[in-house]
Parts: sequence; structure tokens; C-alpha cells
Amino acid sequence: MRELMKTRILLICGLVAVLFAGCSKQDGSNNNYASENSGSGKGGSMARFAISGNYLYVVNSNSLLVYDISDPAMAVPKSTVAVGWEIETIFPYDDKLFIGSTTGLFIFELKDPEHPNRLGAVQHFRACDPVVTQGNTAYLTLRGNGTCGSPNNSLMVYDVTNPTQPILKNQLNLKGPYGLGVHSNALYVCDGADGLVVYDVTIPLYPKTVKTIKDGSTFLDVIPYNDVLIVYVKGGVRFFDISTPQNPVLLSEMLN
Amino acid sequence: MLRLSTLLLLVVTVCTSCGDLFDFGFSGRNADRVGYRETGEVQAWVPVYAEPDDVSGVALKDKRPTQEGGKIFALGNKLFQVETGVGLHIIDYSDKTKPVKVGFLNVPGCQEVALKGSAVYTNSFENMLVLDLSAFPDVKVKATLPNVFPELKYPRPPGRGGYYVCPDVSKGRVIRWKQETVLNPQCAN
Repeated sequence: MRELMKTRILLICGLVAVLFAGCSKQDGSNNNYASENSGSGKGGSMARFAISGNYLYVVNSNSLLVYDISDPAMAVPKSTVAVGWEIETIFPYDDKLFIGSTTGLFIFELKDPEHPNRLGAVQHFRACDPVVTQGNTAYLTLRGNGTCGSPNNSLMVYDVTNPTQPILKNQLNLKGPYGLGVHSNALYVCDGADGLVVYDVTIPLYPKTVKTIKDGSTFLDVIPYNDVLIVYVKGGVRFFDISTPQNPVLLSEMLN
Repeated sequence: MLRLSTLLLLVVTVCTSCGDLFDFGFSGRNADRVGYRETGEVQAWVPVYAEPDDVSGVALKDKRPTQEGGKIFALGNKLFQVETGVGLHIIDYSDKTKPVKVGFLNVPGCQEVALKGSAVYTNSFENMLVLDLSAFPDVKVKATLPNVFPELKYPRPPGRGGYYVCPDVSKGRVIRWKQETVLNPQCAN
């Protein structure tokens, strides 16, 4: 009897879904999905996918995989490079890839985009560590509490002018940071429930705290994209205007 | 007679639990299960299983509330957000002050997302998928690349040194883990 009810409910749900799909089809506003998305997109700092030119770079827990996506609907495998252990994130910048693991940062160059070449690496204490880069500076957060090992939590600033030898220039304390993003003269660091920290990076190697947006949200990751800061918070996303980069202004939120 | 049936029951019970173990298909991970122990009420990771509807395959569904929001990727005025283990929310933010959800892509085991043109790169458990949305709202799976994320075949509880509730394969595939107070969890990592 219960099974029959279940089947019925499923059938009704299916019908409703079909009806809704029909509605959006007639609406027409979504039919030009392809044409409006000709530019390049951007992911957060905790991504395992990175797109650079006609290539998709993927990190699993120990390798970097390269796919040719000249035809976006085809991902043609090109090569696999062993990187290390517990790889978590990949961030593309210019002709380089910055790869974060729980024990260090790896820098690859893409002169031959099908065969990334490892330039340098730095080791750090065991922690979760997304990384972003602008110019010759790499910013990396280490979250040690909870599930990620050591009790240290900080923002690490590396000079990567010589990518074969990144130099640690600065270390700032945080509570328990997750993702981060950099845009123009501003660096945004998600410090979980302790807020979104905005730094002035006019002098890139020496970030200065401008403000912390602390409003009850748990901040997890950001994408600075054009003049909008898209923020992944616990429970959904929020949109901030960053036409003045160091002064994000909340535009809207989509929670549920 | 009573004794005999008890014995029989015991044998059957042991055999079923063996079957469970073998069904995991990852013998190394069974080392996590270390006999019976009484830890009392402790904080532990509890597996969340896929709903039968969630594993039915890749399909466009009506928009739904965000429950366990995950990673994000922006392209043009579209934003995709992972619903951990379940799929992708498609958000249109042409009006940045009024973003709207335009649909939900059901992708069992989903954790990752990237976009190029009308292609969506994502994963269904250990496999990488390439989806084509060029005829949106029709969705085509253009490619399935097997075992790109071997570690996502059986998502593990986060971190180390904690207790967790041993997954029960008869309940379905694990899509994520949540922390709860549990009486005597029998697995530890």
C-alpha cells in the first residue's frame, strides 16, 4: 500500500516537473543560453576545476589532469601529471597554475598547455589551503582547526616573482579561514562565521585590514567577477557590488 | 531446539554482516570497522544517503531550495552552485539585486562545477561529466570520463581522528556526511 502511494506521489511530482519545464520552454528567455555565455567564466578558490584558454585542468587527490576543450562539449584527455598527496584546489593565473594541497603549494607553468611543467613548491604545516594570485603575489589561507590538522589559522603572502622559489613575505592571523579572492587593490578572505575580511593590497606583499563584514553569515568562498563579488555563504549565495573594491556593498542574497 | 535456532540466527546474522562488508568493494577501508566498542554518546559523522530520485540520472528539474550549498562557478550572468551530492542550482543574476533560480540539474554525487560556453563540467561521484546546455532547457550528457576522482567513489567522512557511523550499502550511496550526536558509532578514521 505504502509503495503504491509512493509511486503515485512520484508520478504526480514527475507530472508537475514536466509541466514546469513546459512553462519555462514557452517563456523563451532562457533559450539563448549559449549565445550569452561566450566569455570566460570563473570559479571559487576551492575549485578542483580550472579553465585556461582551450584547456580544462582538473586536480584529484594526487594528480593534475589535462583536457582539451577547444570544442567545449568534448573533453579530450591530453596528459596526467603526478603532483603529491591530498591535493585540494587549483587556481589558474596568466600562464600558470597554483595548486594547493594540505601540505604545500605547487606552481606549474603552461608554456606547453598540454604538459604543465612544475616550477616550484613550498611546504607548510598541515592545513586546508586555497590559494589565489595577482601579479607576483600569491595569497594562501591555512585553516588548521576542525578537520584539517594543525591549530594554526592564517593568511600567508608569498612573493612568486621567481616561481621556482616562492618566498614567504608575510603571515597574518585569522580565526578559521576558507576561500579567498583578489580584485584590483582589494583582497577578500572568508573567515567562516568570523566574517569576510577585506584587505588593502595596494602594496601587494603587505595586506592591511580595511574592515571585516560580520553579519551572522558563515563566509566560505568568493568569486570577484567583473564588478560583482559573488560570495558563497553557508546556506546559499550573496552578491556584493565591488565597483569600489575595498568597500563591498551588499546587493542581494539567495538563501534557499 | 531453542539453542539450535539461536545458533542458526547467529550464523545468519554474521553472514549478512559479512555480505555487507564485501559489498563495500573497498577492502582497505573496512579496517575502519574495529569490532564492537562502547564509546557512549559522542559527536560523530553520519552518512547521508542519496534519495532514490537523486540517483535516477542527469536531468533538468524545477528549481529547489538550497540545503547543503557547495562550490560556485560564474559565467556571464549565470551562476551555478553545487547542492552537495545532489546536483547544481542554476541562478540567473542578470539583475544583481534580484537573482533568480532558473532550474536545477540533477547530478547524483555532484561536488564540482566549471562552465565554458554552453558546456558544464561536473562530476557524478568518481566520474567526470560534460553536459551540453546549448538547447536549454534540454540537457545532454556529452561525455562521461570514468574514475577522474577515485576518492569520490565512496565519499569519506571529513578529517581524521573522529568517530563515524559505518555506511550501510543497503541504504544507498553516500552523498555527504553530517555531524550528529550518536550512541556507540562503530567506525573511526
